[in-house]
Amino acid sequence: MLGYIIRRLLQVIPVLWLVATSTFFLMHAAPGGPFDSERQISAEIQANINARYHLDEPLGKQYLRYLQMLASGDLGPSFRYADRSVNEIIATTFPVSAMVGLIGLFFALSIGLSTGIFAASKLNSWRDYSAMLLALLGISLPSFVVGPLMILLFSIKLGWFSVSGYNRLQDLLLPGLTMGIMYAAFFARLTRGGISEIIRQDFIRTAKAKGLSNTVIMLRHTLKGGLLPATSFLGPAATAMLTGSLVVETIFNLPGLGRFFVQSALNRDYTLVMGCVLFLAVLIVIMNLLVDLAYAFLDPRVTYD
Amino acid sequence: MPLLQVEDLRVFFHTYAGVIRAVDGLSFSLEPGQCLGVVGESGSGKSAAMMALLGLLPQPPAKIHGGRALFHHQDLLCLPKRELRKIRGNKIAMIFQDPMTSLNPYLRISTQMTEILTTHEGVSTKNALSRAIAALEQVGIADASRAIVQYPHQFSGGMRQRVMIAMALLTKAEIIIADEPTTALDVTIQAQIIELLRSLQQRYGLSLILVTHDLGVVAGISDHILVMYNGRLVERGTVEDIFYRPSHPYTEGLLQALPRVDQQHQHLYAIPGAPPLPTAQRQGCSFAPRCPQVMPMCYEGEVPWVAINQQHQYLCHLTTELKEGAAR
Ligand SMILES: Nc1ncnc2c1ncn2[C@@H]1O[C@H](COP(=O)(O)OP(=O)(O)O)[C@@H](O)[C@H]1O
Ligand SMILES: [Mg+2]
Repeated sequence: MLGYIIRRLLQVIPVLWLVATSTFFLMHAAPGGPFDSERQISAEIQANINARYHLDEPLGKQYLRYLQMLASGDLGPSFRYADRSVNEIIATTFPVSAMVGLIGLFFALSIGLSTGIFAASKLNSWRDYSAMLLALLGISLPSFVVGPLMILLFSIKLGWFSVSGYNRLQDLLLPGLTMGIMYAAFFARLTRGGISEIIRQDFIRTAKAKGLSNTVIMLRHTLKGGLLPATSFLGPAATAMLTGSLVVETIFNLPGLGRFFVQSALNRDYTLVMGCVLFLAVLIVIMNLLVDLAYAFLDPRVTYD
Repeated sequence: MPLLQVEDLRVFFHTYAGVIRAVDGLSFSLEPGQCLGVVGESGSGKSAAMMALLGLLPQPPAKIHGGRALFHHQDLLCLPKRELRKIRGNKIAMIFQDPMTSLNPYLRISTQMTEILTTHEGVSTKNALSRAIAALEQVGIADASRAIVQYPHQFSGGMRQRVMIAMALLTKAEIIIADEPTTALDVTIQAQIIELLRSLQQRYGLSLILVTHDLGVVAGISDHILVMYNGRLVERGTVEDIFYRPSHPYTEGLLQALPRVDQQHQHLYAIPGAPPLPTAQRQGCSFAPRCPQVMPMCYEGEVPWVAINQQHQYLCHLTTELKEGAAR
């Protein structure tokens, strides 16, 4: 098992190389560059800047230079935010996004799983249908609708939280909730689906024939298998939530990674884009590994060696 | 007094295609310490009847349209759910057809066994575990204390069915209902499982209901046999009655269809035709279209029971006199 984990983690290296290479060339193939702007700058200054960031070198050379830097753990300077390195930007913005993401994950799982289990235990009844209707609503309502509604209710009407910005930890609660609600809806549907699949199995009939109560049948016999679909979704969902969302961070005016990521792509801030993408790739590899381990925990037929 | 007395049980399935009269007036009784074999082609309503007794049918589509099932002066069919749960797995245990799918693949055997005891007898997990190990030993599982912490997928089909049997033994159930316990197994394993059930039945005086579509399976173990066709009982009798003096043409057909040691290379007989569609209207005897001795009156009206003696009866227009007449 330990050997398996180490091997999986070592896979990060080729994955990073592939991601770095493809992002590098894609970014450079995209029209425009980091220093294009409406303001006309003289050719001299332009040449100076290009020389400073080695943009005047042939692409292959730039690529090798980038890989070399990467190997030493340096993601380089941001092209757009002068005096800030990519490492530093990620190190200061990721904790904000991660905190929002963790809060979101908490709401997503607690609301999502309990709704899914509730609906599945009342399968095809009006309670099930109303829970699933609610979930559909949660999936369909975009964060730019839910977020402002939250602010309106909790911040302006009730005055519990600040309207925007990040000063205290509790300022992250509403963004977390906003983000969590949509994922909660996905988790609810996946959990209901997973459980209703298990409920049809022969071994649930055996459990009934043993005289077990419905609660024991649900919690002990159904849940482990029924949670597998939600578990698969947990990997990508957690990654997306932890790395921040442009919409949520914009609505709540938070200095999170999500905004920088999207901005960097629009700005052609080559190093920052690459840094964010690589960071995401590492996170995805780790999350996928965690999901696979959770799979083995839930289903004893799954083994790794 | 019989341990279980079922009277006029009717179980219908209400489907979009129509009403399926899966069990249509089944009556039987089970004496303590006896083995009752229930035979009939697939689809004749054997499982539906057994599951109805324990309230295991999904309702809807199933609906119990009448009858009684007396067990210790209680009617199982109208017992509140809580009371029925106390009986299931405790006083009446059930073994299912497919051992590959009947055990929970996500849980250890130990969990699946001990929960029966902790639920019904409130014993400690430790105590339950040692009793579960003892039960596994009783059904011939070697190295039971190691085997019990394993998961079902680590067992073969035959071993899993032994585990299911061990589960039924745990609470010293008064009745064990085995629904096609060998159908999904290899022939050699089938024989071992039947032999195991037989020896356990003799050793502990179990009352056993053995459901199967294969007359060969019930031959060596049953005291009494019920023959079902299309949701109805068509013949009942002792094993000797059924095997040596079969009276209903369907039972005769089933017996002819058995492979026999003394006719190894001959063509196996099969009852011609197929059972009627489950949703078909019932008029007269539902075996009539396949019956080699069919008479015009078989297609209409009620078919009478013919009682040969206290134990042996069959549902047919061919009375014993008519049969003798034909033989002469
Ligand atoms: N869940 C169900 N829904 C609809 N029809 C069913 C269901 N279960 C069984 N039946 C029907 O009831 C009849 C009896 O089935 P069953 O009791 O399983 O037969 P057996 O066990 O003798 O093979 C069959 O016609 C079958 O199609
Ligand atoms: Mg059956």
